[in-house]
Amino acid sequence: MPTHTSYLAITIFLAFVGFTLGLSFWLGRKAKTAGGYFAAHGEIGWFVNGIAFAGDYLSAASFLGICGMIAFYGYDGFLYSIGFLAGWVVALFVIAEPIKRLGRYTFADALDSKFNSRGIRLAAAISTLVVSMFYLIPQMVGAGSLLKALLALPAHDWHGIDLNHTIGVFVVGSVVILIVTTAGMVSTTWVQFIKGSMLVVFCAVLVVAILVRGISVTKPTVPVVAATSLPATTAPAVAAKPTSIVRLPDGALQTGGMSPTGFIAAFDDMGIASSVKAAGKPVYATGHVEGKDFLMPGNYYKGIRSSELVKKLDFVSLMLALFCGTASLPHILIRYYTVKDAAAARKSTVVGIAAIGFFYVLTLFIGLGAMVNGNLDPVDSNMAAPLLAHTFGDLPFALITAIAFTTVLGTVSGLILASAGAIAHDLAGLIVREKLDGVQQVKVAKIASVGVGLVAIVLGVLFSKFNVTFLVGWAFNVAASANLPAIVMLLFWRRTTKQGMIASILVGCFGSVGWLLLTKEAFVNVYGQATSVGVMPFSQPGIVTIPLAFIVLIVVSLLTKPYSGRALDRVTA
Amino acid sequence: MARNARLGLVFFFIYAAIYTGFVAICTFRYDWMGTIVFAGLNLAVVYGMGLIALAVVMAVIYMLMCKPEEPPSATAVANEVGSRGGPALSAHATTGR
Repeated sequence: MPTHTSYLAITIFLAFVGFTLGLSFWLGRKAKTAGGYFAAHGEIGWFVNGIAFAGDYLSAASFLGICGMIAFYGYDGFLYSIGFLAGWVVALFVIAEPIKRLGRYTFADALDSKFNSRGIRLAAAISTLVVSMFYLIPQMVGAGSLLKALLALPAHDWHGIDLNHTIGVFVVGSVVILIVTTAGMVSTTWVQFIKGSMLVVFCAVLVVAILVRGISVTKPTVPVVAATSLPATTAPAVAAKPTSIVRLPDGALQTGGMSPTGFIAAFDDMGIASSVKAAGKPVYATGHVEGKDFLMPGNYYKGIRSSELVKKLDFVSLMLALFCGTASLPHILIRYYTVKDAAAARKSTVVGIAAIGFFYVLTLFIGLGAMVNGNLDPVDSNMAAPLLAHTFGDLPFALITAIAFTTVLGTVSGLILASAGAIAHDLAGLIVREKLDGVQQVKVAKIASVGVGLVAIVLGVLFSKFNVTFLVGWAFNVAASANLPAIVMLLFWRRTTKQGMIASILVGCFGSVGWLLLTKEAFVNVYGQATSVGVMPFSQPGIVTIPLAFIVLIVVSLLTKPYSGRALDRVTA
Repeated sequence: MARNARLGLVFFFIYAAIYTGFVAICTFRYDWMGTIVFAGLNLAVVYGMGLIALAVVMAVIYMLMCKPEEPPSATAVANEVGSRGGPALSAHATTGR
């Protein structure tokens, strides 16, 4: 961790944020109508929209969380990269064009296009809010970690709450509320475009720097002890906190510059000294881990290596949720309404997939680079990438921190906009029982943005002890359970009824949220319980709640009166 | 079903099968993932990177193979539904874009 406040880093950071805000205000001047505020008048070009997809999608989880998880747990972090990208296949091949044709401003527009049902609109709006809130939490947690490292203030705790982290959460929450209330989709799109471009380019530069530096055997900062000499209770965590490299292939002390394949291949004969957890707290005793084991699945999702099927289900469930979740995220779906037609939606998705795929390849190098350089915060895995940049100097650290913060701003802006749209466009009309005009919708949306932002700040403080990627994995579970069955069945099963869709959305949404709130992770990290047992058998509910939502939709649809119109058939033909 | 939609489903099922293979190996034969298969890289890295690359390649091929299709306008659909005495589409569909 930086031990002193770098004014260069803070200056560069403030310049980035100031530029982002200035751009946002300038572009947001014209967003007075609902069409401009929610969907940028459908006039964004497909290439810009594609990179904005990347900017929207590559959140704190993708940058901070995945890199941190790879640095701490090896290959298991990369599983998220694979799953996050695979989800775009569902979005492109199955969802993109129909969603574009059916909707206008919000995800509820598309779901409700066939039935014109207040119930569907209400259920979809609730689902949008719940999913967006789950996705907002990790962004706020990540922002808190970033500012904490940037300011390098002395630790301040209040009843177990890290006040420095809390300051970071408040700052990002305030800035984003400012962006969304003064602007709209046009400025959010450009913020995401710029942020997405910079993130990919600077991460590529960081990877080149990692490869040029190569890997060196380092002297551990703490005594090295054999893993076998540690108490059995600490052994499972041995692979969790890598600190330094103690052996390289062929007994070399350093490798010099390396090729991308050479860098990863070096792990096949590498010894790693790692710190461990004892009695639930990180300590600096170290053991040895083999590099080849570090690049195998199962260091975090230990059920993979278990012989018990139920323990393996946690991993299978995660991969299912990641695959199904992307196409169900409301803040991603609304980006299809910012381009003019289905062809542009398709092209922008392809551009997005290319940019996001390239970035996810980089995450493996950044995460492993952070591990071999050893500059890690043992209590905060989210800071691995910025702290890796710090090993190259204050300037790279400042740039990466500023980009990471802008990353959070871009994603949070999109999430709050999706939530505000659900409230203003879908919920408000149901509550006042009359259709709001465009200006009224924008006004309600801006008020809603403040409310959503404040709730996100509170939740960001409460969930501060989680790895942000793990939290985003939960958001994918909720999104895939609540939204995907309704979308898919609406498009491909004519017997779908509005009652079936409503039941499916609500069961998927609240079933998955209820499951998550009863997991061991929630008991330990949210409720502060010193228990190692949750009510639920594993942490990722998707493998249960996604099929459950499909079954509920089918059963309820078969029990209710079929829809007699043919509008959807024509629209999707 | 439209040609682009059929094509999309074919691509989806191909990718889903390969993705399922990855998850299945991790779940039931995770030790296979340590096998060195290419340039000193193990199967876990090669398969994972391959899934990322495959998604990009298939997306580009899909985009090139898709044909421009002109869907019926939302207004026309709304008018048809209205003339049948069916439920009116929501306001956004009738206003078009």
